[in-house]
Amino acid sequence: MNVDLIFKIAAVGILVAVLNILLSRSGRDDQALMVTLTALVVVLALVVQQISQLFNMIKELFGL
Amino acid sequence: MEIILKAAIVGITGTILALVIKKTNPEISGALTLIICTVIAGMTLKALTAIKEVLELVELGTDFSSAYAAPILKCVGIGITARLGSDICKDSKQEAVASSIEVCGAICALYVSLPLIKTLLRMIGELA
Repeated sequence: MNVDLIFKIAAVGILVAVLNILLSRSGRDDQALMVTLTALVVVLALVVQQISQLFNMIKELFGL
Repeated sequence: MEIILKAAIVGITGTILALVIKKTNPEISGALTLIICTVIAGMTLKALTAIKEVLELVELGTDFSSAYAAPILKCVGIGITARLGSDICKDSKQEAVASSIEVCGAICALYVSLPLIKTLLRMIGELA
């Protein structure tokens, strides 16, 4: 399993946090929400991939 | 053997990172905790494959047929997944979802061990 995925997602989270503050400070709140949503979609795509990989490993290992 | 060290380090650093981004966007920190669980579970499952080989050796040696060993392994797998799923839901304060996953895990374990229960009842019937 790759540990660097954790740091990648943490970096995305921090980036989105900074962007949100920047955008909301300059009055463009709707774009801040769009940035959060796109980041969430990217993160969820990675999460779903990792979870399906893990559950396939569990299925093979325990013969479920 | 160093898997436990790696798991502890990954867990601690990951939770700190999740705390950093929890205030501004909690959903990404929830996803981060999920990824930490999958990474650590992935590591432990690699160690479990060695244990499984020993189990198969035991099976070959004695006449402990795989009809008995398979439900045991399946129950262990169901227990692990149910526990992991329900605790992740409890993290984001979804108690109802967590308890429904636990109920589903219990019933699946029971379902898997049905043949064992049937053979047991048949044996008892023959004794009587």
